Amino acid sequence: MRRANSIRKYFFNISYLYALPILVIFLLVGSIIISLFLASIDAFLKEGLTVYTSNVWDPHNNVYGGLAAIYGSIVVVLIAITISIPLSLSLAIFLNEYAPKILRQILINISDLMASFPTVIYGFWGLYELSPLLKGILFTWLYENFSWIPLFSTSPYGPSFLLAGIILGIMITPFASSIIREVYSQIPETIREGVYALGLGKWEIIKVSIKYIKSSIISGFVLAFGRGIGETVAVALTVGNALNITPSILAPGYTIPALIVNQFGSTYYPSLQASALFALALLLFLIGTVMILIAKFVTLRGE
Amino acid sequence: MRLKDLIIMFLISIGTIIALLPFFWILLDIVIRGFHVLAQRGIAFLIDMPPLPGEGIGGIGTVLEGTLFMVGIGALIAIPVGLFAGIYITFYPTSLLAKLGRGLVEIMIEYPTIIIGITVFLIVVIGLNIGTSAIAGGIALSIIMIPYTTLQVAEALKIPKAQLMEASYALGLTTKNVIRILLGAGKNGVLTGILIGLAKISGETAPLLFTTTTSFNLYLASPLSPVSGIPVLIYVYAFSPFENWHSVAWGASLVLVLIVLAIFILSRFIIWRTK
Repeated sequence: MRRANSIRKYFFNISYLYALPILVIFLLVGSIIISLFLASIDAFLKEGLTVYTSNVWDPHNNVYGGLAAIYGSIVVVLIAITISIPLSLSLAIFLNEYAPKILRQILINISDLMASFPTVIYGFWGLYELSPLLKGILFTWLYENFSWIPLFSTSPYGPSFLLAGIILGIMITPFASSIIREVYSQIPETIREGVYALGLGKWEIIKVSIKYIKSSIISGFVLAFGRGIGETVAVALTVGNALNITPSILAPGYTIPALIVNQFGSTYYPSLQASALFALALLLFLIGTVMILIAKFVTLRGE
Repeated sequence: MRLKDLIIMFLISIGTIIALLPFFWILLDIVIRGFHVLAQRGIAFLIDMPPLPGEGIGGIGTVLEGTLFMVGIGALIAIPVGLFAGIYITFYPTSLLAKLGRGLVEIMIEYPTIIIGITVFLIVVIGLNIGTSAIAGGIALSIIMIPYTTLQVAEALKIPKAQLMEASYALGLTTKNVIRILLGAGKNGVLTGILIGLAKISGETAPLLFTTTTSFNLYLASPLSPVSGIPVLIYVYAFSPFENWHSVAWGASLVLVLIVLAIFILSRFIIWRTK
């Protein structure tokens, strides 16, 4: 009787009006997965997995393999993360350890504004302001002095893996830093009291704090990886758009989202080319989802 | 202070400056270059059509109209869905539907927006045979906005719920009335959540590239006809070789930045007033 009551309570108390939007969200996510999969079937049937593993993108002969774009996506995001790690950690630590209250509030607002800035503007600025500047100074210097290292072995050309990586690094820093900053501010006071009691200073406090929130920092950068790999227009504007697999990060390259947006306009639908692009989008979706799940897992285990 | 502590302070300050410097640099660049363009054309820049290659500055009237309309449609769909989903998640946090819904929304917020654009292309533009149109662009933007609004609403209602819910029920109020009271108490937070979603979708480019047009000489005729947006114009013109199109893109960047900035400042003002 009691059980029947609670079931009735469960079913009749819930206002269906409020549950409906949740169902809409389920439907949305479900249809994203299904439609992407259906649209890429054609490419999988005709090309098999070579749509991911071969480096030929030849509309004339109707053969499509996106390996160069997959390679480029990973290279660009790794550069971005490498740049972002010291910057976002610095920003998060500065806000929590050094900034006076008013400055802290101002900088948090600026960082949040940076994170919600239109990404196309970062790309536009990167292409017309940063690119000529870096090409003239940093890229040329790297090439002239370090071209014996494969990483810098091609002559500098503004738009490149490196330029796109730098732009993406600038963009994901406020995002990664906001995650770190939140967790950092929740570190129990007892931890720093312990360090002070030992007669130690800021250096040790920061070291201990970073260690304490290590798993959150890792999951923050995993999430940033997922965001970065899906970033489209800012990277498309700065990566150079050339199907290149080369160890040199000074060379122009391609990424998955850049390839999709640039090829899409000149593609008929339905066609094998469109289907290959959808197969790449499906891969992007899977990478993104795996990154989110890893990030959640790392956070959970850390707790 | 020990040397070690000085060094770490120095390094962290340098890192912070490098992290935030690009923002000021970008802002300064856009204000200077964009103002130059806007000053040349005045208010006509917001009304006229974009120019032909090599023929002056013209304006961004078509894409400004497109952006406002598509963001409006996005908000019209996303606000009720996000609001009710957020209320549901707050009210029935232990129910399976709410748990799954919350998890899904947290994943959805991380989806690359290009994926949303492609899906809306497949389902709305092709599947429902609506074609590239303002409404398809608006739908894509709404899907991007929904998770932001949902999570913000859930966050905004958390505190009033803990404080007021039991008291409200103790007064014998029905669920409907309790929800109304909580929304009243959390209204600033809810509003901020909506504004953050709006700022986010105003600057979105990738989803519009799949769902609307890249020709910029169309004023809005009907929701079913294609119209483009400011971010798309910046993207396409940035790739073009024409000097005057670059100028238009700088002017358009300034307008876009002002829109996003206005929404952002409004949202911070609401938070500040609440405190």
